[in-house]
Amino acid sequence: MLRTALKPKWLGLLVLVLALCYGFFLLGRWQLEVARDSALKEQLAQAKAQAVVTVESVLKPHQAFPNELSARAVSATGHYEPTEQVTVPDRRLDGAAGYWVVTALHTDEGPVLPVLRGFVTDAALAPAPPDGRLMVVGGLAPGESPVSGAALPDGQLRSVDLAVLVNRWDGDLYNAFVFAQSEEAVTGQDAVNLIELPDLHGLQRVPTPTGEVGLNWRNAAYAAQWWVFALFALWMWWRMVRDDHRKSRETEADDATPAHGIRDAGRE
Amino acid sequence: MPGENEGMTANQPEITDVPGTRTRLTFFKVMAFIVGIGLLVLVVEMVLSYGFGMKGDDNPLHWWPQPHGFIYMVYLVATALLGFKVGWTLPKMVGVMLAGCVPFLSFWVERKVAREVEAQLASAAAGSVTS
Repeated sequence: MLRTALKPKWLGLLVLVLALCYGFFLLGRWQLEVARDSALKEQLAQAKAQAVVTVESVLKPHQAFPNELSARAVSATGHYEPTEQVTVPDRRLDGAAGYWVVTALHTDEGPVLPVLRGFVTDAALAPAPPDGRLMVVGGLAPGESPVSGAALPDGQLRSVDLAVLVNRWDGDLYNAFVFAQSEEAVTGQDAVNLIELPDLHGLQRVPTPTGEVGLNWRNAAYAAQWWVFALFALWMWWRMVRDDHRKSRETEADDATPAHGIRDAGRE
Repeated sequence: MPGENEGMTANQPEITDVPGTRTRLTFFKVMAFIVGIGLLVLVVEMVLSYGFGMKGDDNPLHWWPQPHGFIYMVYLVATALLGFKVGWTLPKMVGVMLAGCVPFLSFWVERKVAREVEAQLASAAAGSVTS
């Protein structure tokens, strides 16, 4: 059988089949990406379809976080308190390890909203928050669970644990924090004159997590189909080799009887 | 009788397992018919999708391409099973498989193939009588 498979004819075909399989594999992977993409797009589109609302209109301080507010786009206007800023270690963004920078935003209405302003690769690089009145827009998220571990340097927290922050920071705390997507300086009394802050001072925005991103099942099924086609091509090759192997064994057996030998030679 | 088989075996190997071949031929014919119809449905789906811009849920047939892919796969298996049984060459097998992707061609190929295999079966039956 192996000797049959190693015939140049079958080896050549195997190379062809493997190339085809590789092509099918890539097509399948591409479809899988499309499946993820379109699922993500659907989720983002749903999130975007909801208009930005002010945080005080959907949440009250100390109120338990309602699940349906996850990733909800909210805005809050107030000022940052530079002394109330923590960094959260062991975070990742685009494959890089680093820290989240979380700062207390004292809203105009009074309550304090923790704002995840961004990501830095080194805690020492966490910039001071911008001065003055500003409006933050971002995705809402519930506080994180406490994480235990060795003691951390001052100003660091293992997770965005609101139970810890409520004791460290002044004022009433919202039971939520915001993944800031934009910070705009507010000039004047109303929020009409907004100026996008020109410099993030090394901060990278952290996208609002959309939760488990599912798959678009239609595209995932296409991916599976391509992979099954690849397996099918391999099976075809194996069947042809097996047939050839059987035929050559028959021929060998037939060679003993000359009358059939002629016929089989003609068939080849 | 080697002399009698000479003309046949030049391009059509003789069939040894007549009932097995018949089963596979029937399976192939059924699958070719289903794929042929499915393909026409797919064409309608594509016309609605690309011609009339009915994307996603707007398209009453948007769910069809996916099961059709699986049906086509069964057609491939049916073609391979029959092809191996009656000794088709690889190009012929691939040709018949690809015919399942062309609207209306699958019906024509199915008839042509079925007639061919029927002839082989008939001569195999005749051969078994004479020998």
